[in-house]
Amino acid sequence: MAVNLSKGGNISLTKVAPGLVHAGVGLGWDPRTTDGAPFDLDASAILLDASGKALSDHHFVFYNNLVDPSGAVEHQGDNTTGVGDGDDETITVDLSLVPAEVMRIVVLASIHDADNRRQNFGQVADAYIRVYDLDDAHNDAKVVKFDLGEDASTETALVFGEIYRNGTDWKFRAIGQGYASGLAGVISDYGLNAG
Amino acid sequence: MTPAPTHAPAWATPGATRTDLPFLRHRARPRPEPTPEPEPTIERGAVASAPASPLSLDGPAGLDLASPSAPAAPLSLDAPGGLDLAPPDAVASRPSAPASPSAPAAPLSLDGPGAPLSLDGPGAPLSLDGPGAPLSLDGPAALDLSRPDATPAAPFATVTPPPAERNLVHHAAPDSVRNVAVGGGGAPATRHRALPPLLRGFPGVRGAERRVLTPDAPVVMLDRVQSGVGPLRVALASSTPMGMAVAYELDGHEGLLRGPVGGYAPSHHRPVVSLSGTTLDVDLGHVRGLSRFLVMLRAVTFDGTLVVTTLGGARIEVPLAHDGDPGEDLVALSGYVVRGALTLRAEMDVQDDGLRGATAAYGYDEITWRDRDTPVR
Repeated sequence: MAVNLSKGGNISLTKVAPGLVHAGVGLGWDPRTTDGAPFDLDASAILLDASGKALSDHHFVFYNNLVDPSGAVEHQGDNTTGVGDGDDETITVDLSLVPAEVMRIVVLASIHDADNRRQNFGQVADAYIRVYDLDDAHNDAKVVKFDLGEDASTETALVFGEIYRNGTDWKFRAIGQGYASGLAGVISDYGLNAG
Repeated sequence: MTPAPTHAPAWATPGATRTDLPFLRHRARPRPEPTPEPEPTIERGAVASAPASPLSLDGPAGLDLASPSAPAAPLSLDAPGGLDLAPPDAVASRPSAPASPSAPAAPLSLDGPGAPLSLDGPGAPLSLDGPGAPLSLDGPAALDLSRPDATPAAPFATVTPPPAERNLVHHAAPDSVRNVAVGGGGAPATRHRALPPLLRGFPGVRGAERRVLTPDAPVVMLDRVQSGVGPLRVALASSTPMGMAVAYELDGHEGLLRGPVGGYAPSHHRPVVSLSGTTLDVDLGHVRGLSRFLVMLRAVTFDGTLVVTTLGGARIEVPLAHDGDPGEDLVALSGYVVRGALTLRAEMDVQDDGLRGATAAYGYDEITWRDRDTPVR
């Protein structure tokens, strides 16, 4: 049985999945029926230092930079529709490769071209993030999951959760923080600049 | 900072109904699936018949762009030897080589034919500081920025929308996305490689900075975040009547949009490149499918400024000042996506052989033409 977290909750990944090295971070969502404009949600991850800022532009793993410089965090590809079962997008994290200066890995999703398409996360249902052991992916007992519920409304980007260091341990925190300013707004909070 | 929790889902409350159970019962489990080979990471449209010569940008030798003798010329990334910046007329047959960021120890030399281009070594950083010295690399396979030959032109008359067959789907999720490699017991196979470092020596632009591109400093490189987030707008600010046309390469397919009506590419449902009047919008959310674009203007007299703006408010300006002959085209700006970074260059190159000649001079040789200004749909 997967461990379900509520917003703000955290859990030790080492306790959920002892010996965890290769973590899969799956994000899912189901766009509601709209006026016809397709939904295109993009997952991304930012590797942060102790001050909560991105180590560099290259530590923003997204569709235009699929792997961080260390190779620890890898974006598995962009699903432009969100149609189908299972995770819509996946980011993998090799915890053994994460540089020592990386303290947190924030995982987020944003709606592409949300303003022009007049879309927001209020039109997205069943959003979730789950972290699991890639080396034992079928073991539900090693899954941590956070269902974001239906809280979002006008937000066009959402920080789903983060994996962070706690001493020698790795933990996962459910965040669910929305941004109406889209991807550009999120990344600026973490020290990145889209301009 | 991690925001404090403000809400808890209903199921987290004791006694509340679990709403996630149907989801958990029906959610498909990831299945093991073979993982494809790692993909090349440089965006130039991969041509299947491309020679094996990889694009290597990681060696010790730097790209020297400071030579004052270097003529200005378009940046072409299509040569068999890797990053080919050969003169326009040498780009005619241009099989593309997908770049390999981890290209072996191929020597970083820009002096001989077929030599891989290396821009990352400690030795010689890319320099654009030389007086009047745009990008210059000697040698057939080197970065050649010599000006294309000029030829005659005619006014933009009709608008040709992008060919229907170019309705491309960008960023289609690989099948394995939903069932990422989770093979029992093994480490996840890495399908992507980290992009090689950005080319060095090109000036960047930060925040809401304003940058004017001049003949002495014609190039600016956006970083990967700037190159991948939000729209990029190229708008003409001028009181002189001018027409705009844009050549582009998306997912390896070349096309042309012409004002004043303009059009979309690859489709209006998911436009990556859109032209309306004298305003070009590039959706950087699909930058991985974009290899390059070329902005051309037509007027009797070129006056005003081409203004490029990013989502974050950076403003890059290309002053236009040229008394041309009727029917001439001014190739004002080129954009190339190199290693995930959009590089803009003020070309300011007058062409007089119609759009066909202007685009061909910059290596857009896959566009077919009804006449010198009208591409075939």
